[in-house]
Amino acid sequence: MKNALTYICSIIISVILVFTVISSVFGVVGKIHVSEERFTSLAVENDVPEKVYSELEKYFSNRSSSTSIPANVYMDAIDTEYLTFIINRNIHNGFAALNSESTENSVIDNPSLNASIEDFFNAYAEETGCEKDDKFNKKLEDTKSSAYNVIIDQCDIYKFNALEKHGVLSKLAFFYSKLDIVLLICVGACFALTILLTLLNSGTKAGGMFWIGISLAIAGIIIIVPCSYFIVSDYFSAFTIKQPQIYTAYTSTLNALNKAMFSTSICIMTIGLCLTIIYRVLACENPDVKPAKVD
Amino acid sequence: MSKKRSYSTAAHIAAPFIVLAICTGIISAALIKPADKLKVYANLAFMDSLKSDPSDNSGLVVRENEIISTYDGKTSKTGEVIRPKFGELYAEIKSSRLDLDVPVYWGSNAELLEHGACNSSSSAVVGTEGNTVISAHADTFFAELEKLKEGDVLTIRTNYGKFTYKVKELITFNSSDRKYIAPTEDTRLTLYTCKKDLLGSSAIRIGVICELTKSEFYTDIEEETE
Repeated sequence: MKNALTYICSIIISVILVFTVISSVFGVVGKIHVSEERFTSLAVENDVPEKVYSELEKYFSNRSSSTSIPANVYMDAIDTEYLTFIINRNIHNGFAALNSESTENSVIDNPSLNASIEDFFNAYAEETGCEKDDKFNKKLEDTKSSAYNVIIDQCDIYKFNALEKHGVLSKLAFFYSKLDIVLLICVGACFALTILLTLLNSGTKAGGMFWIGISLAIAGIIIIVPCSYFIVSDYFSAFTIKQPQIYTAYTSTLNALNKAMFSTSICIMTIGLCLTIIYRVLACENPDVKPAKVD
Repeated sequence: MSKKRSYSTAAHIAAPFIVLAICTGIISAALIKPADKLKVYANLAFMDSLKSDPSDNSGLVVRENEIISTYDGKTSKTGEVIRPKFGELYAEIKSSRLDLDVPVYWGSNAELLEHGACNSSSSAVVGTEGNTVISAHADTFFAELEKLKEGDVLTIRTNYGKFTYKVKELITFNSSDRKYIAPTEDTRLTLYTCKKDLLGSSAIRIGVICELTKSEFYTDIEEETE
């Protein structure tokens, strides 16, 4: 009876331990990979600034028929270093919003770009004899402001502005702010449940090891199954937004997160199986079993 | 004793399966309610079943068709139109008075506007009832549009017929105003472009509304295809 009760309690605690281990894995991987440093490094590794440059060139070329401003007026004045700075700033502002901190909204003037646009306008005015009146100056300022808005928008590779506009960022900020506490609770619970299982099965040799082992192995399997599906089916490549910089940013982040979860879960499953095997080996060395007397 | 041992072994073998079954059951039960919503969001976020790379450049296909410029066969007031595909050159607009000879593509986007005038795909096909809305850039294909006056005659040639219009009204509207480009019950042609401003275009649109005066569907071509 006592053994049956111990068995049932061990099963229940193991089930709880499985879920706390899964939550801890999510928390640890999320903490490491959903960070400003990781996002900025992924952008650089996947040549996102170069993709933004191409998209800007395409945008200004398409608009040149309606604006009469050739694309090279803008593109000759900006480079991938400048775009990397804007991308990093956008990511910084996104994470500042997630952490409910203040964002950097200072003017990001590019003297080369300002000079290029001014030179073009001045050349146009000289060529056509156009008077540099208030209308001319307003058009010049509007063109500069529009150029900066387009550049900032194209460099918002994770679309934090759109997420903020639709209220998604504030909801994410709520969960992100609780990540540390939840992670602490999950890891603490893992340790507590591990000790509990060990005490509960103190009557059998290394009995706690068996239950901890199967909990870790099952937690690993539960995470491995969906991660394997995402890898094998190349699920994230079906991402709907095909704008190159946004597509690359999101798919590279999701793939990195998925790979991290997959490798962590393999480690956990391996540890669990090892513990189970060690238990089995120790359990086989049973000093209570005496060889039967043959008369 | 051996019986106890076998029960103990069986219990140890069953334990992982029991725990796995319970965990799977809990996860399935927890996902029952949000499953539909999660599926919708996942389908929206990852709906490209072809998994195409954005650098493939396999986007718009522009079809440059030959439009029949002279037709001497029989015509009819009524007939069937040949519905074009997005990006297909399917008509030509001409004006006898002005230097207006513009190819018309079905669909409208930045790339197509570089090739010619664009017939909005949310409007009527030339030769059908409703409002046929065609736009083009003010500094290229519709540079002469502002010179059109009431009473001017325009012809649109397609591979299924020739349609003659007369300019009825000159219009000016804001780019955010949808009044002139909305569907209508009467059959009309609306041409518009951006109003030229200092260095490029403004938010103001200028154009013309034309009424259909003559429909000539090519019947000989229909018989040939039959």
